[in-house]
Amino acid sequence: MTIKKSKIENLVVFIEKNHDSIVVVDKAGIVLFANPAAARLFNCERKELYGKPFAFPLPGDKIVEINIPGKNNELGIAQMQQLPLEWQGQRAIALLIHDISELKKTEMLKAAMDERRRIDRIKNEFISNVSHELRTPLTSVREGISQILEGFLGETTQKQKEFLSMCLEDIDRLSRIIDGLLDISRIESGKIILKKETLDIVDLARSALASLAIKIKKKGLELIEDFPEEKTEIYVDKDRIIEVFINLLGNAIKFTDKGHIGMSIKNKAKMVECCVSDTGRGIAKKDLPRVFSRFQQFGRVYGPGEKGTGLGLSIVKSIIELHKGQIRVESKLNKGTSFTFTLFKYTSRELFRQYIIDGLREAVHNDEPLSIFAFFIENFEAVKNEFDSKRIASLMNKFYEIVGGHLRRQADLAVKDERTILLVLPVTKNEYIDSIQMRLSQALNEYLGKEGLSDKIKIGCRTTGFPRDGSSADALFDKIKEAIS
Amino acid sequence: MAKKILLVDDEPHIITMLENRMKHAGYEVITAVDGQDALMKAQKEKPDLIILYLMLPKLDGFKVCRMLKFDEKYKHIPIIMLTARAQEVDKKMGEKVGVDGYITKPFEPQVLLGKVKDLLG
Repeated sequence: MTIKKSKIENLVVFIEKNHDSIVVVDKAGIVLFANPAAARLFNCERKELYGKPFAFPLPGDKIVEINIPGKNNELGIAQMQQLPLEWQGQRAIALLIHDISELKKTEMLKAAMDERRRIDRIKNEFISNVSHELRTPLTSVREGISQILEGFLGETTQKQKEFLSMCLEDIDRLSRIIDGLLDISRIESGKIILKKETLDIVDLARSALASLAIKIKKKGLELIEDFPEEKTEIYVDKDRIIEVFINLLGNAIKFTDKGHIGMSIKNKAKMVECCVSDTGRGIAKKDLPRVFSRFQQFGRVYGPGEKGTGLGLSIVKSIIELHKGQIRVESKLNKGTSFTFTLFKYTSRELFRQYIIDGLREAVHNDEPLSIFAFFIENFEAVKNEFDSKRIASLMNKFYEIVGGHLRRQADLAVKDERTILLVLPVTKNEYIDSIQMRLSQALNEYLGKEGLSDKIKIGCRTTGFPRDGSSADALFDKIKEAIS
Repeated sequence: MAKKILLVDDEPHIITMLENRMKHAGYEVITAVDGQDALMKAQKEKPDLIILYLMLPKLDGFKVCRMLKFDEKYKHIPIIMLTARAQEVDKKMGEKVGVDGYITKPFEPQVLLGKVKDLLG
């Protein structure tokens, strides 16, 4: 008997504690019983439900969805099914009500996100197609006007030439806008693959400055540079970062009539901070939130000169974000503006990892193999005790030269830290890994032998390759992790 | 003798204008409006250089280029690909089929003429 009792107790717990609502009604639909979950569902005491008609039509044999009062006055959704049973001697119906509001909400969110992605894709394809279609007619318009201007079709008056030149200028501007739009749509649709290399950011800043120095001089502006003296290496897409500098500098020059243009680079612990500032007309406070939006031009420049496209800063922001950096603007009307962006500095471990991720992405994208070698000083602790850091650095430089001397293509990559040299060889078939490793190890050991260091320094090597060892960066990284501190 | 240029584009306006431009620069010009036409004229007329639009009807520019560059008789003819897309994929494809130069629409006439001059040596 005790067993039976405990069974009933279990059943009571099952009904009373159930998160699903359980309601029993008679044949006429009058409520005979409701569990606590049902009371919560209808937001009343369970006794208040008894003896009253149940609020929903009976589902019959099907499972139906019903609207229920949900959280925060929203409408919820529940599934309801019925089971026949006997209740205190008469035939009755049990209704099981299972709240699926949260599930529906997630489904709807997911559907909305899918839809958004779909629309984004259509939008970007549309921009790409439209840009393409615009170029052809633009070409004949440009070519026609050029030829009239050049006198191929007879003499033109000075006034005609002036007007045609204006047309030509605006055709070129239109074509820059098309380029910009295409650029943005490609960045946004993730079609751009950054070609990252380890570079000194100061070199990039200087190369941008070089192309705009004449403009700064022409406007009689002073240039104030503040660059770090030490090498400030960063892993970025060279052309894209130069584009960022040129864009920011170009704006600064355009909107500044007197005073100076400032350009500073600060080498901080975990990041590099670049700033382009001016003493120009500034941007009104109310306009600041929109400076990075497309086609927002404030304080347009009148008169001659290259007109903007309204896309520059939007592209700048996209490029910085593509590099996982951040950009911000500060400005005071009639005082000046400064744009500051930060780029993350990788630790050597992160950098090696990033090299592998980027190399792998390119390889998968082109359906080509990838081979990776990590040469490292195996007995690094002992070496550190024996030699000072300067000597180790110069040895590593020599090793780097030896390994780098075996790079054949521009796409081959070598990068080093204090004890490891990572070599990423795209397109190199995995079959060649062993022979390349042997050749390079031999070259390194020969050098050590020549220097009489053979018994002091042990060079190790770990190799991996795609597709040989897997197709994820983690799998490849795992194979060589011993070589990386 | 004037060098002979084969100009291929399916846009009649562009053909007209480029033809005029090239004639002014002292070249002899023949034209074609689709890929098949281009291939036929290239083989028959043996031009010194071809300016080839990419998105041609019948045979696209890459195919025309491929067929000429893989033929001993014609592979010496330099080909400038004219495109309305400046995308990496296209350039890669172009390298594979042996394109000698690229010009993106809309182009600066001086840039095009410069490239033509370079390739004609």
